[in-house]
Amino acid sequence: MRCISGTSALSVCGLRKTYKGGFTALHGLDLELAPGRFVGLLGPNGAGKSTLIGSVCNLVIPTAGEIRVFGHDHRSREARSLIGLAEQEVNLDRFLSVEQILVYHGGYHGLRRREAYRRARELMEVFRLSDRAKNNLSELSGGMRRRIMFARALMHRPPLLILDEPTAGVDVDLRIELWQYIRGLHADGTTVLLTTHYLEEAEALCEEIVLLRGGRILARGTADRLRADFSASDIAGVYAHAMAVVDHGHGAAA
Amino acid sequence: MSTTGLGGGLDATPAPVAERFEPSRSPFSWLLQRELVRYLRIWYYSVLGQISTPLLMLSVFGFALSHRVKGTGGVTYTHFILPGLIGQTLMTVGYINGTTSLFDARRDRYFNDVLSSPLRWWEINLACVLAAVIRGILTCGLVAAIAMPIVGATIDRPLILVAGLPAALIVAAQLGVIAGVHIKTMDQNISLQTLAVQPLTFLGGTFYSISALPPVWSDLSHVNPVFYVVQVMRIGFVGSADLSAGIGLAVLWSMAIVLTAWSLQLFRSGRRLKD
Repeated sequence: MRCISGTSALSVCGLRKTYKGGFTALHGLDLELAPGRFVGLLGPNGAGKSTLIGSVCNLVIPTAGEIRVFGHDHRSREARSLIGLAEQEVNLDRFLSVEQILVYHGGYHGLRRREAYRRARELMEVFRLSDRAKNNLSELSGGMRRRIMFARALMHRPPLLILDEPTAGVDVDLRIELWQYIRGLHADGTTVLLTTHYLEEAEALCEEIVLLRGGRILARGTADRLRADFSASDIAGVYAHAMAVVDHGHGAAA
Repeated sequence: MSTTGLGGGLDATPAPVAERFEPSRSPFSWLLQRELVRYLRIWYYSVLGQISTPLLMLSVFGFALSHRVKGTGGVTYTHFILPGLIGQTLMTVGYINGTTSLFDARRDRYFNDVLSSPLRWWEINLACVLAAVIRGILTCGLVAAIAMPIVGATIDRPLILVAGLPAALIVAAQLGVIAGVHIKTMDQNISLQTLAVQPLTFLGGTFYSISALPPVWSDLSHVNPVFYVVQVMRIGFVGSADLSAGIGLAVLWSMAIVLTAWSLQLFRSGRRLKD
């Protein structure tokens, strides 16, 4: 099967991942993201969202399939330099200060020292972390850590931003703030792939929604299109219908 | 510059999609710097803390026993055990650095920030190893600088040290890195240190010549990697040991090459570093 497009921001073709224990998280998944699109990935726990993201970002070794980022093989340095990732779990270097976390991330992506510090200062200003620049992680709240994760993903100005449940466990104020940041980045041309459990978040932010379950894509389209296809009044109804179809109609996919 | 939706004058425009990744500064140098910052930030533990053990051993075993026990090769007992203590420190520091750095990074998952970056697999390995090597040089250099004037020790065969030290530092660092890749829990880490590393360092011939051991124990000493580190260090400082310099250096460099090949293969395949 040929499904790779050289012009896409992200092309995933026939992606399969079977873990050591025999569990298959992704079953030959195909996915294309055009440059500048904002796509939401929705699905229950174990749907394969994080495995898909891990595969794209070189954190998971796929069993089969091909992944390209702006035409580059996902394992290449070029591809990795084009992706910004904020993972679901807070995974910050506890040996470094807030500023150092950002600066070193920039360094891993090839920024020179002065450039990395300038960019880090900009991001700390925007994310209201400037007065915490020299603090260690142990001195920061959960919300601050989440903001660092977000800032870190933006250090090298990635054209493709992958956010794995960026608002999980954050309060309403911070969630609204993060939405504003994400909208701003998308408006300025960043391609965004967002996974979330919050259906209203996907509906409010994303141009397209992909419903994933059991490592397979169940449906994909704009919120309007999905509502029409599933005869639902909102995206929660779409989600419920899609999952019910799998449960009752195609048990193998679950 | 665009600031849509983002305050503070942030340039929110994504970088242009380049055909080639061309860093302004080598990502490898950043990772190496990070590895050095990690332990230099806690220098009182990571460097000073590691020199207290050999200096205490030198005081207790060396000065307390030197009147009753003779060293071999015409040197005092303190002079005899000093090279071994330096070698022992080198092995311990190299191992601890590799395991702590990699295991912590994997456990807390901030290693993902490195794996998902444009760093090459061999650059990641090299940065981890080089950081451990530099820590070994710092620590052992301090032990030697403090202990040598006290003991009155000299370096009898400097070329042997020049040829052997790099291999010993690589062996220690790669053992730590390999263990850091394999270890899954803190319990495993501690068990490996107390059940394998510590006994091997104590049985490496630091405090005795294996010619004084029964044949079985003497033969068993030859399968202990620390033994070769201690012997080469002793030849360098004292001039002779239980091995010839040629055999000691050949075994040390062979171990360095084999462990480096194993370690590189682990990083190249990524099988234990990625899901």
